[in-house]
Amino acid sequence: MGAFIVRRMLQMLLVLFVISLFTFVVMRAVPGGPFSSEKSLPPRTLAQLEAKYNLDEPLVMQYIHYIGDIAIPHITENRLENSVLNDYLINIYIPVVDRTFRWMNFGPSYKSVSQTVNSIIKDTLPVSATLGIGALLVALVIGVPAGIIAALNRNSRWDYIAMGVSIVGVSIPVIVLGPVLRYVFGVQLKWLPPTGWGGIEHIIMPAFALGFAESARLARLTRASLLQVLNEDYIRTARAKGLAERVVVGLHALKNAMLPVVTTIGPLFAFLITGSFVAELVFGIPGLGKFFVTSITNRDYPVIMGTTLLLGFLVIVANLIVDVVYVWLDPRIKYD
Amino acid sequence: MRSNALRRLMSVALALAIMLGTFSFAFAQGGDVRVLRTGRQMGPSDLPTLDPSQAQDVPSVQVIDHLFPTLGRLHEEQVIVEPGMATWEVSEDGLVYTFSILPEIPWVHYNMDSGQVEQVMDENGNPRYVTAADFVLGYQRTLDPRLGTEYAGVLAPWVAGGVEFMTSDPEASDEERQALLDGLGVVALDDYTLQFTSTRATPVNEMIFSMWITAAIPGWLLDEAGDFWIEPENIQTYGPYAVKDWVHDESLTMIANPFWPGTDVIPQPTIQEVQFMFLDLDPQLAAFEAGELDVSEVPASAIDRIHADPALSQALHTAYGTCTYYYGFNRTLPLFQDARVVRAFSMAIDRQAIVDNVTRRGEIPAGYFTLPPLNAAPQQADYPGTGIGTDIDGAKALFAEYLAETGQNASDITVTILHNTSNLHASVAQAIQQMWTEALGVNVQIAAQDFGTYLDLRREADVYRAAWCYDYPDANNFMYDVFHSSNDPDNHFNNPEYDALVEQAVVATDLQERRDLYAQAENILVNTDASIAPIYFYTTQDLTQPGIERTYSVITRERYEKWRFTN
Repeated sequence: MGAFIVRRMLQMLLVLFVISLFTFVVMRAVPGGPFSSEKSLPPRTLAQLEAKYNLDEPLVMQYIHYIGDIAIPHITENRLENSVLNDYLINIYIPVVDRTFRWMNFGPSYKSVSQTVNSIIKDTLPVSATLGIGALLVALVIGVPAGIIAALNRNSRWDYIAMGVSIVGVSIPVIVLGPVLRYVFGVQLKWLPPTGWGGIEHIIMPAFALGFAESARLARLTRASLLQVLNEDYIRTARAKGLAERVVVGLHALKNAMLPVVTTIGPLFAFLITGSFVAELVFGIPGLGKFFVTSITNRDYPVIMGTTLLLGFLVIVANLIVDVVYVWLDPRIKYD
Repeated sequence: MRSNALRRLMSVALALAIMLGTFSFAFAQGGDVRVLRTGRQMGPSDLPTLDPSQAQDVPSVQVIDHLFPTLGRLHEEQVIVEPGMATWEVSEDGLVYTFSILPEIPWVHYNMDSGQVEQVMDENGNPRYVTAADFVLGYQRTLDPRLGTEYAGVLAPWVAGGVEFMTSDPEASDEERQALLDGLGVVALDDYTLQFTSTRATPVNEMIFSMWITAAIPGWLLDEAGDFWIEPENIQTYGPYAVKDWVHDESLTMIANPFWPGTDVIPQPTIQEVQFMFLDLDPQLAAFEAGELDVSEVPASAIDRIHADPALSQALHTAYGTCTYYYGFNRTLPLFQDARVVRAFSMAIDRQAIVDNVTRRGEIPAGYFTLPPLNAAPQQADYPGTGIGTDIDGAKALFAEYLAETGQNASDITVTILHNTSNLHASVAQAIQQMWTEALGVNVQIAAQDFGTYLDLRREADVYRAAWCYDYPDANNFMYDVFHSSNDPDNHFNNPEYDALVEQAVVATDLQERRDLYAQAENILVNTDASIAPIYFYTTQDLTQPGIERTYSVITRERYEKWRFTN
């Protein structure tokens, strides 16, 4: 297992490298630039800005610089100039040589002049992650039991209700459900604050708006998967042994039925914790999600790269965790 | 097995409870000061900056106006310049302004630990006051080729030596750089006296030294905190409000500065805290209706409901925005080389129908390019027979005349409208497409591109949607700064008579004379040598909770120091 994880980590570096290269090429192939505006800048000013951010170099060199700033550790003076160009994620003081080890500089934001990719992610990822975990909890707490109930009571009233609700859930996007919740519970009933961030009361509505559609998807998946497993031979064996139905379903069937569910939860988790553009706009949440969109319209190159790499990294890690969980769920799976 | 599961469940519940507790604790903190919460003109994204030299957007400037007042201060309702941080005298030739800066206005910083706004002390323990040198630094910094600010090009032409400094080599030696700085027409004569030498004797100078980009800058702080000097833990300001907190992407809170002495023009604030919320339009309205926002903007989708609701319609106010929406025509195309064609296309646009049915925010149909509330802006009603207006029959006749002369068929002509992607621009383009097809019989296509691509493609487009939003509220910023032939080549507009008129208008001292000259220039731009079709003047709409006494700005930026709670 250890060797497997190490191998996957190495693969991850390769995948991230390909993602970064692909994103860089596509991003720079799009017309327009970070400093294009209705007011045309004096050529010297534009040249100066481009030089500041290394945009005056050939594209290949820009890419090498970018990757170098992230990947190559630097040993520097202890005090660096207070500049957005010098913001490293990892700064470790080395007493022996009285210098500082620095690593992973994802660059400045062109749009927010005192912000860097690192500071933006530090500020917004905890917000998005909190909301994402909330949404995932909503999805799991509603989705999995609904799927189980539907599967165990196949073609009964409960099945139809659970699957009916999940059809509705899948069909209603956040951009519709969000404003409806906000209006009903925020404006009319005044039970919850319609916008903002800070307390648990701010999480409930957006977590539900985001989690509901996912819960519907999980419910359908759980139902289908559980139904299939319940027809397996080993379930018949378990029943034949005279095990209680609760044990048959709860221990033997459910664990195996969770395989496809866990497979979806991995990437879903990565996407949920990196934020949702729509939910953040609808509920005024200072999360990471909107940077995925605004950085592109602003041509804020380092932010585009940073957010894409972060999402890529999380998806890979989530999938790795899923693979590890498989082993626990299904002893037949072995990696070595 | 059951007890195990139970235990697990209990621990999860406990963890949740702790999480809950921490969150509610974090939320419960807060004083009993009544805070004014506003979403007006803020938008859903973070403020790009609080650095006066680098700010270029309404949200940033809205906040900066309260932190770093300039020498002159724009009156937000009357669009005139009043003494802000200084009073001034003008030399005989109208070129040299001598400012007497308000004495002993301290630089301040909000101390998060003590919860107080505190004076900033120098290394000897004496308070730092705002001096002429701080303002000189502000001018120098905005123009500095090493910094490369977007607004350097707006400021430079007005300051003696400005263009030379702005366009100089950023890598220049210290001596060369010093020579350029010495040649700059902004000089500190003593701590509280500043001399400003303009390139032109014109009333527009007053607008220039009232722009945010000329504010005083704390040089010592720049050395110390670098790019991060505007972050709330570092920032030092001197205006009626100071920065209390800036939660990136969420809100910025200003707190009244007790060291601001208050003047007739910029009084001491009575509202102790103003919180700017970064929210999209719909969430703003929801927060307003839930009583969590004191001032909200208005989404177009809610306008019917607001008009129908007695309380909300009471709270609604519509004012001019800062921009004119127009369509630019590519005058290098054979079709549009004939100004009659552009005129016909412009006359065929039913502007009233667009503002009533498409944009629906109380916009005002435009027959001129310049926004009416601006200084020296001519009003179309005062100059009958000038400008452009909707006249479908006239458009048909004019276009028929052109077609007959050139032997073309309308159905053989295809034009493409380029706009930057937005539902609003798309709807306007579709309306105009229909109007042109029906009135003129031409084929109209629409191309939408995201903003960066649109800017790149604009020069080649047949017809492009555009808007001009002013930097300073004088007609010169519309007429000279956009369409004088020395400016943006994308306009395809080059008319010597127009150039002469707007050159004359900027240096004319009599206000009426300036208006007359701009009216003539307008008539060339939109009618006799039509190059653009002005469509409408932007508005801003907002809702204010009852119990707030306020001013209503026509320059988009509010002056919150003049507002007060009445209950």
